[in-house]
Amino acid sequence: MSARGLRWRKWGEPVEDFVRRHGTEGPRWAVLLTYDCAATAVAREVLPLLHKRGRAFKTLILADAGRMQQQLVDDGFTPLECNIYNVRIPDGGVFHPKLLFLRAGRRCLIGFGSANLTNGGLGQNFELWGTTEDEEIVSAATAFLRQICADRRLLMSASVSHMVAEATAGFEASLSPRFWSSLMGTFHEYSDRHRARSSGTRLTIISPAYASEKGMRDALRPWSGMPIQVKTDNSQRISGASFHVFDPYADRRDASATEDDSDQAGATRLHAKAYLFEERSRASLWLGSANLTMNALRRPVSGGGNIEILVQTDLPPQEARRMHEDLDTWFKDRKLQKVETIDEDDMPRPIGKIVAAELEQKQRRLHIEADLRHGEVFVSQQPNAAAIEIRIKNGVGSVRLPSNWQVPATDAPSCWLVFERVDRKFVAVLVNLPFMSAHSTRSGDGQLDDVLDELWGNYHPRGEDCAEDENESVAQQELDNRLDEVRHQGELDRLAVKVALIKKRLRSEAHAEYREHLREHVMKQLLPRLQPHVRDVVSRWLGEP
Amino acid sequence: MRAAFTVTPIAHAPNAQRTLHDEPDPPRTQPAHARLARRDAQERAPGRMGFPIASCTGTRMSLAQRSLDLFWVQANPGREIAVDALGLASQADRIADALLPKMSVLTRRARYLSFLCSARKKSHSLPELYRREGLLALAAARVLESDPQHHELCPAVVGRRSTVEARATGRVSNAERLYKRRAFPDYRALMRNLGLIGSGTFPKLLPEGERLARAYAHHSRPSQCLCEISSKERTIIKQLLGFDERATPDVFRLCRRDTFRTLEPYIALHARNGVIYPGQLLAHFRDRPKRDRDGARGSLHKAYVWELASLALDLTFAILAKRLHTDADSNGVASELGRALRSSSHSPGLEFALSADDDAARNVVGLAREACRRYKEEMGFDPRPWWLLRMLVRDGDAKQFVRSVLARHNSIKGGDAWIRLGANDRRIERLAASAKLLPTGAEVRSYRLRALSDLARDLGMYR
Repeated sequence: MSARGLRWRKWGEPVEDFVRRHGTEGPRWAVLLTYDCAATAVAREVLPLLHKRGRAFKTLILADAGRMQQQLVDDGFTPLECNIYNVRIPDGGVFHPKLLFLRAGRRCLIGFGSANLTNGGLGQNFELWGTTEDEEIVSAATAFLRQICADRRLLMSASVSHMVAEATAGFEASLSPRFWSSLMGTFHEYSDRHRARSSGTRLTIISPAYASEKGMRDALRPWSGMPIQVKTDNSQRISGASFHVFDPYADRRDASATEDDSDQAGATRLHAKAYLFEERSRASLWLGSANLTMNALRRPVSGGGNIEILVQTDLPPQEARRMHEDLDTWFKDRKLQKVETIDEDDMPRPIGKIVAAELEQKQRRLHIEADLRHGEVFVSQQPNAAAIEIRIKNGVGSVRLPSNWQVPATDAPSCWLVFERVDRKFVAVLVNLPFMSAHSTRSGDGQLDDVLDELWGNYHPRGEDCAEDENESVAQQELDNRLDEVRHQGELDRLAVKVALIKKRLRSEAHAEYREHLREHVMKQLLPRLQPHVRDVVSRWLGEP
Repeated sequence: MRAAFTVTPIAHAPNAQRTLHDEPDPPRTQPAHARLARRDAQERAPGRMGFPIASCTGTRMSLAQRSLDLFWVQANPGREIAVDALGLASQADRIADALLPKMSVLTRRARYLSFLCSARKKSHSLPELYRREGLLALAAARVLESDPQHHELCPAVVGRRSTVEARATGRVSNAERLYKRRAFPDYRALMRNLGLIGSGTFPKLLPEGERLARAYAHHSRPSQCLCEISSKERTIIKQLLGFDERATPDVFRLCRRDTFRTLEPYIALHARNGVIYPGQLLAHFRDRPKRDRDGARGSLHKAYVWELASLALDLTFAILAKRLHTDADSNGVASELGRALRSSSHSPGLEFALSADDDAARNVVGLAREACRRYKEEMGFDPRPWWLLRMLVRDGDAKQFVRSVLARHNSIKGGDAWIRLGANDRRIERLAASAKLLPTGAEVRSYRLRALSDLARDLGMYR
């Protein structure tokens, strides 16, 4: 589209840049939060960026449970080399944030905006996206990730907490006034708490019309008295607000548009969400996932509101001007043909009781976490096939799979599919072969291996050992050599070598505070999972200087 | 059990402006957490605020300007040319990766590897390298003008056809501008994997690349064509690709070698008859191998089975698209398929593209029956296409099958769908957003086998 306004970049460019700059450092994790997740888009556009050059990032995707179920029906399923977990909100809202948390060693890139992990989000829709390595936002995003794991209003697998803890290990978590999430209260409450009201403030809202006229009016009510422009895809009549409608072909109608400009065109559906507050020459932009709806902005999570985030940035005057130029190009003050919109209240809700499923591949054991204290669920490998019964006690159950079930041939972390029988229907359920599991039966020695792998950043999808970086190869060789030397010795010898390697890795961190955070995390996560007879000795070794 | 986390709360205190007189943020050389802790102590306690207007002052603003990258998400450039209406290509790519890793359907000419090494060695910038590519295309165009049959011997020269056309109309002012697609980006990934070049868009030559560039320079003449490859270049490229048994193998070379050894007799067989079609090669692997299911033989069988299913679905989509020109009635398509189900039908060969003609419905049914018969769950494919095909051949529900194919197209393409079912669930509608020419048939995918056979011919591995 037009070259006059804000820049156009591919969603993956900042990710590619970050991986190139910092990808050699471990631990490497990517946590992606999305409402909608299309496996084909993730396989084609996202994972290749994160699995490049042997510097693979462990990738965890959290998506809304109801939308994921529908996506599996509509789109089918492509097995992916990552973990995808569903999030349910029993109080009625949907899990709607779009956040990227990309971590390599002590570096972190945060991405936020409106783009889901779908073909639309990654380029076909009109989306706004921002990325930053600013410590304040990193810290706030860390806090948000930990909050969603700890919040009882959200239902998700216990393994997610373990993975988020690993992914954010060593980072400080503190809330920031520049990072709003609906877990902290509604956006209006939040803005009222912080905003200096001023008579000269103008508000420009960019959001698709996912609410009825009444819903939109209610969502706008707290800003009444302020001049408001709404850039949307469906014209409404609401007093006090002027509506401009998205015209995807506007720049092609522009006689001055060049061929190069129209090469960038193609976004046919408005999906960006942003709130631009301006006073004189000062402009402040909140961008993120929240649509102009009651569920996003005014309902609390416990009252049926969504999980949303918005991140604030101060726009310099020239950037604000460029943004307005863009908006003036694509949004016209005229009534276009009414587009088909989805009312947010009609968004799909999850069916069935299974919250998460994990496969312990070697034991052929399927672990189920259910939205059910006691009872049973029925699972089959194909729709309309015979189902096996799994008894649930205190929300969890497990079963050894029958021999006629086909399980994935590899034990690399990935996703797989089974079906839950609900009345007479069959609902697709994602099964993860997890990076870390709350149900793991691995020995303490194995847990030490996990910690070592984590710290060195040793993760290769499909078991490929394709390290290109020289330092990484040396580190890997040293680890392998030393473990080979003690492979046939006693348990304590093995443990001693592994602890020494962990300590060596920690000592290699130049930044004292980060090192201390990392050490605390290792102690906190590792020790409770070790067998009791070695716990004291490992604790002492790790504590020694 | 959930892990217990602690989160530091912010103080919600009365508004306090930060001004230019405040102490600036600590320099970035300081550790991140020390900086945060210091900033916490300085700013958060007495009412640090960040919300809209009031925070846009002084150093805070410069930090925001410096650290946040804000942009509109650019459309995926691959999308405009994507012709995969039903999202079946990604699985085919996975199979091709298992057969011929790091190659692509475009890496068809062995001598491009040595030419591009030589061009890289002589060039100081990417445009200069492209200019050399343009000159090669110009030389190839001259050869073709003198011998019009030459393109059969020497296919896949990037930019040659447009150069010939431009010369015929007398517009050859700037050779490298004649073609939009360049050879170097097509071959770069393979060259990098073979250890010829380093990383980046204009990468350095590595020692193997230098060696190959020297071999090219030693043999090249100004009017030279890509098919005039020297034995020295052949030897080096064979070693690099893994076709030479004496070369040290890595996992990718082993895969390529295994695939070539498995296909070698069939390539030689079809080469004697003239052109090699990838579908012909796949047809030799219609039976599931008893051994080596994870090897090349197994992957070729998987490719055969996946291609049957893909063709059946793509052809159905083409029939639906063609129906737009007549009555646009999806039930009419379902009736045709229903009639085909009741008649005897056999799977057509995979040699040629299938068009949405009068026999198309019978071809769909034949392909679907064969695909369902050959499919085994442990092949690890996306099961959804088989649910669709079973809907047709096992349940006999052609109407639901047609609707599901359209639903899959709409789900894959999202807002960019080409056609859809109208409100009455019967009439097919073309979407206004789609400026694309709708398919008139279904193409057989090559799984990079055409590239393999062309490379093997260049390297003198068969005649």
